[in-house]
Amino acid sequence: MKRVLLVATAIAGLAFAAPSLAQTVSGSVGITGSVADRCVVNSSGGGETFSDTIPLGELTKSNGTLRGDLQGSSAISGATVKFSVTCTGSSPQVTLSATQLTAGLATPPSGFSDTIDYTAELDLDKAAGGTVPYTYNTATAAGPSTAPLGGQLSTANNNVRVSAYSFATVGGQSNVLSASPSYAATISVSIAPTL
Amino acid sequence: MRKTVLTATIMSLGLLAAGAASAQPVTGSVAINGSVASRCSFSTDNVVLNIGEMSITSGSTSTLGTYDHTKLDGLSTPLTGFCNGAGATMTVEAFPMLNTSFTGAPPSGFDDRVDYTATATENNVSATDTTLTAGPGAPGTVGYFSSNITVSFSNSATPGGGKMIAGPYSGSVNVTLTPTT
Repeated sequence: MKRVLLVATAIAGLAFAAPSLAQTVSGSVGITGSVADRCVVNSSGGGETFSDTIPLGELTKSNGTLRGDLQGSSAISGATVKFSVTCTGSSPQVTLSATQLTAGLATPPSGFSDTIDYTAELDLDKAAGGTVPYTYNTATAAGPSTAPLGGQLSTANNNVRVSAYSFATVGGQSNVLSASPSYAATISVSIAPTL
Repeated sequence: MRKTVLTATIMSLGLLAAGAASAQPVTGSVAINGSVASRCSFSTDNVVLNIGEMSITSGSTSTLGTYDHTKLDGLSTPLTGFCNGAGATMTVEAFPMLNTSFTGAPPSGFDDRVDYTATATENNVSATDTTLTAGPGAPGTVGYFSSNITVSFSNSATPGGGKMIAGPYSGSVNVTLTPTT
């Protein structure tokens, strides 16, 4: 029985060998790609930096102390700036820090100050909905505040917002602010890819 | 063999590109700026001193009715204010106490005017003026301050040392704070 099967198999082999001149060669090409985990600033044409200014104008009221509206726990009109950032990763790493608002004068006498603390807030919209706030108080924060977003960043416009509020004169709100045309501070933001 | 090399090249370039882009965070900078105008201001800018009867009402005939300098000399009163600039100055201009109901020249032996020196003091800085000459005195640099300004009086006297003409008398002292940076 085994011999019969062997012969039959050999015949079958001849049958396949006969049309060998018409057979084509087939192949396959694999295509691979990747999407880097990255963040870009939409408003700057895909750049990696954004910047803006919050102009507070005259900081004092008639008695020389800090304006009352700046002392409030929410940002006044004009004290919020917006940006559009796209991140491809699942949970960007966010860092926020800020410097005091100061005129940098010589040490003022008792009852005066040239430095103002405040709270800087960074709000990031998540793709899944909701907003994650990051805050940095210049009076108490020892270093930059860093934390993951905990989800994908929204792709909507103005999904990154920076504001400042709760301004407080160093030494007490009753201190008179020293005259200067140039009180300045900087809020620094970093939105890094997940990896 | 060519196919193998091509595939390897595509994959290699792709991985390299992905690796370079992932290292870049987006960084943002928001500047906050503001200003504080150079200014001076009084929170107490007006004080009225009523020194009452200004003439000597008892004693020798020669001094009766003449000006009692103790009514004004040594008197002081506070004003309250602040200046927020290092170069702020204070100037005093004093005006004599004049009889507001009497007109014309006083008769011989009588006076209708009291001159004096006014001094404004803020900490260790003073500015003075005398009513004997018109116009303000020399300014003093007060710089940063937020406190009382004490206005005091001295050297008060009538021009002739005569008896005072009856009537109400009124004078004033202007203290001017000038902000500068």
